[in-house]
Amino acid sequence: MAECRIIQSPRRLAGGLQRADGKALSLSQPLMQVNPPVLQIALPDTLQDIPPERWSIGAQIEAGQPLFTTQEGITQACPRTATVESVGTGKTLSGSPTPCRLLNLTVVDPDPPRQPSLTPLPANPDGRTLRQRAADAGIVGLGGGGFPAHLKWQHRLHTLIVNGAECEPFLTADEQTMRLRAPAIWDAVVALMSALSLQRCVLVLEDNKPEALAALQAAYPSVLDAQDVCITVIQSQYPSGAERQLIWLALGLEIATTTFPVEHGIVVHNPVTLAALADALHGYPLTDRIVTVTGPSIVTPGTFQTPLGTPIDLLLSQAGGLRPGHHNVFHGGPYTGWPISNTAAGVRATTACLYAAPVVSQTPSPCIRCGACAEVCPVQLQPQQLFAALTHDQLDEALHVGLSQCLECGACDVVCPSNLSLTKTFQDGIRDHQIQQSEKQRADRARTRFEARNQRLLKRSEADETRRAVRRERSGSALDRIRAARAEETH
Amino acid sequence: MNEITIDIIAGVIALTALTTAGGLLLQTLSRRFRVDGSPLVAQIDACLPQTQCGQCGHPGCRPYAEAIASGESINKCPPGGRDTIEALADLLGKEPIPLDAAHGTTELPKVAVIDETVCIGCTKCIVACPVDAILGAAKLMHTVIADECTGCDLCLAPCPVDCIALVPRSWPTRDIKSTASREVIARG
Amino acid sequence: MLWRIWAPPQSTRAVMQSVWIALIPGTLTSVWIFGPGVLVHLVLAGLGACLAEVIGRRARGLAAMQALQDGSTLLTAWLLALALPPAAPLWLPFVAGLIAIGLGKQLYGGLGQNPVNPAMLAYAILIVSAPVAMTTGWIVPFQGWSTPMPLTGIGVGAVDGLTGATILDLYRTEFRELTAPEIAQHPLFSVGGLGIAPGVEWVALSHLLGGGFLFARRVIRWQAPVGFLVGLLGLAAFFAIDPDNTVPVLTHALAGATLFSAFFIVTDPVSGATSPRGQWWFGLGAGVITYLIRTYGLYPDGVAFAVLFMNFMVPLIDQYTRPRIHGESRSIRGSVRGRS
Repeated sequence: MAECRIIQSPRRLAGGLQRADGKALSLSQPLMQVNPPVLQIALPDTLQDIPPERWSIGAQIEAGQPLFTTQEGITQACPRTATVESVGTGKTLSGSPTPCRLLNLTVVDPDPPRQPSLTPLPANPDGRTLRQRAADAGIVGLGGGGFPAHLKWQHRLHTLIVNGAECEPFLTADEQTMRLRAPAIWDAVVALMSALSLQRCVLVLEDNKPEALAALQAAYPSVLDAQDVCITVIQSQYPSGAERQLIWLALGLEIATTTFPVEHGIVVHNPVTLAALADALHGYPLTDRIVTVTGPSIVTPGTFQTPLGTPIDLLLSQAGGLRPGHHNVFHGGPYTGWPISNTAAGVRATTACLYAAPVVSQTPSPCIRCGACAEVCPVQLQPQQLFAALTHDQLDEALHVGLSQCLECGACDVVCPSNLSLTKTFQDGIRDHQIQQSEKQRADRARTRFEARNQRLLKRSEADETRRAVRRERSGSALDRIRAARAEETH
Repeated sequence: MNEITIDIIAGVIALTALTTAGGLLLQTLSRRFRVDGSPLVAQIDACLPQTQCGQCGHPGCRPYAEAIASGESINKCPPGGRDTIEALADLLGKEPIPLDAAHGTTELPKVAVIDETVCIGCTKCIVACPVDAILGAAKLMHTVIADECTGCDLCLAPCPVDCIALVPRSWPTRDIKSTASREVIARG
Repeated sequence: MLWRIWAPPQSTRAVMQSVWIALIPGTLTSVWIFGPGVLVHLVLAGLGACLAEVIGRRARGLAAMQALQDGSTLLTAWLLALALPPAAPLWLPFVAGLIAIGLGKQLYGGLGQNPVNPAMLAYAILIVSAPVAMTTGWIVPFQGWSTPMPLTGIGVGAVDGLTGATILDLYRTEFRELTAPEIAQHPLFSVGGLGIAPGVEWVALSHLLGGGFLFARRVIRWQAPVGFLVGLLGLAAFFAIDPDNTVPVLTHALAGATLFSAFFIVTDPVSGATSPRGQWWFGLGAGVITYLIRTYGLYPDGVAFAVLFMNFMVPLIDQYTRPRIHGESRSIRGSVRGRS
């Protein structure tokens, strides 16, 4: 095995939380395989094409067969060989009022031998082949973002950062993948570096993952040059795994707020995404993922390898179920998770964690301007000023102070002594701003169309006038002609 | 002339010279550092919702903007509602006043929808639409392009078979998936 | 700046409780040296403050008991009790409590909304409106328990042997004829203790202890107290090039309400600046203005007016001391409001 260069990053976030990370909870038992009897796949609102014969009730779909392709080009494959039980509309995971279309499948063979459904690619495919394969295999950001991977590779890139930070407490899916699938992660790194002509790669880990570090070191491939590819260990802080913060901790580079990292040639990928990409290169589309089921309300927390579309309550029961009492189940972790209102819905590609905690009702009290929120903000915003502006309907003031830069990480909520819902207020403000922007665009379009119509009508009436004037000149005015004709008649 | 008169004249001349110099300086500076913004009418028009409905009494938003620039009151736009009145008040340095109910009330945004089973293809609504949001031709099916429709209501009256209705627009909502969790483990 | 695993107080009430604990050393020392006046004032100011809170909340149609539970009203009353002269008339702390909470807090909407420090507002209003009551109640150090019934010493006005001038008062009146070293020969200085500012120096050191506790508990940051002391003592040290006509630096530090204000007044989160750099400028400004009022102004201890002045500067300070956002080239200045 080649020697891997390990660097300790000297930097730490200007804000950030350092808390007990709760990861031992779900790492206390080994990864378990879940084979559900039913699957529920949510269909996106707009699809490129809907193969009608696939949706008839009772039709059998083979494992790996494409189900649908989204507008961005991501093809979702059927996770297991199953028959279509129903296609209808139902409640979404989050309980949003707009119902979504659902595909309910009954699995025929819960634990099939895994077969590649795409052609295995030769080693070191070129950029175009890689992009096409990532789209065909449905590779999206599996850390929770869900962004199509192939869209990131459209820019000119020189650096790949593997985001093994997993900074949020309780989440361990990334760590399990790094421990158990280190060779696959490196395979994907090798393929990406050659296909996209990258100059270097930095794999970033937090210092609370020594086993994962050891596994990655052991699997380091000899084809990689230690000068170009290294592992950087950063201090465990929340949220060190946020993209811009990670780039700063790993490389010391601060990306300007008006640009994206890919525009600077830096692409960041989650290690689970890379492992899935490696599988895709061998012909296996994205059909399963590791989900961490954890939290104070789970009886036996753990990590589970499960097909996409597994009903959430089935996964919860695999983890021993919820303790007695009132609990909330969150899609995501304790800081960035959102409450799941429909637990019969299926696991998605973005479901990295299911976190269950007792319902705690905390009445907020007024802000005392203590500044604790500003101390922990990783972007160095002033949450108390943002909150004051937004609660007084001053969206423009909040935007001036930097509302658009809020990561919605939730660190400020944790430290606020008055139990204020800071992050929710900022999220609402950001959405209001987006709504305002889209309404403004609509109004601009309406204005343009209105002016264009007025121009058209004006031109038409002018053209009519010109035509009449020409005819009048040629053959005299109509009135004269009529008079002349009448005069002839009477004669 | 005695000394006092000379003092008075000297004082008057000095003060006049100083104030004239000061005034010239101010004028030069204000010209030199002038900030050229877009004309006032365009700025007012940018505050209006561009529904082009005519409820304000003018044939479109731009004519109303021109009227406001000439002193018309700013509270005549029901689709713009309170937000528009406040934006105009901010821009023009006036006090925000409640919407003039004689011009209508603010309602949720709507779009027009044509009932295709009843439409006879007469093109009267197409001619009436101020933003060309209706697609169709004579004796052919008409349909409203929902993304371009401003809900102005002008197509309802001309329709001879009453096949157009205004329905609430699916307003873009705030994301339901907002952070609601707080750390439950005992802090510390 | 990181938060360690043993987290600082996590609720408003816990923050207030920490401050109460920090005030105990100073209160006990004050009672030992100056008699029970502070405790009587605490009760009366507390009554006035709670009454104003209840009236204010009820007038706005809100539940009254909820507001009293967070402890901020009692804290304001406690600060007033320590700031007012121990032998002041009995109506003084009651009225001070009423003004502080009624005018300084409830008028602006309750907790978190006051633009100025409520205790300092009440102090300033009273020292301008009732100067005699506010200045004749200072007890001679270590005489507070001398009378058979100490409580009769409170509220009866100037009593020979019981009440006297404060140290800063003394310097102010004697500077017309004597130099500073000559003033230090005054019998008041031989009462005991360190000899710098008899009696009150122990109270100041106890407040320093309390301040250290607050800092260790992460309830306050260092910027405001250190800024205040640098502003005040820095100027005092600079002008100490003329030792005959200026109050010595240590006297500035230990007499009057210097250390008390440094840790308990300028650190008020609601009326002070919020960013660390902003708190530094806030403290510094308050310290400088305190020195100026003490040396050139009418009042022996100018902290109240200095703090009020800096409170009005806080919106400006907050707008110009924001830290730089990650990814921006410079910090965001100013506000979009008020630019029309």
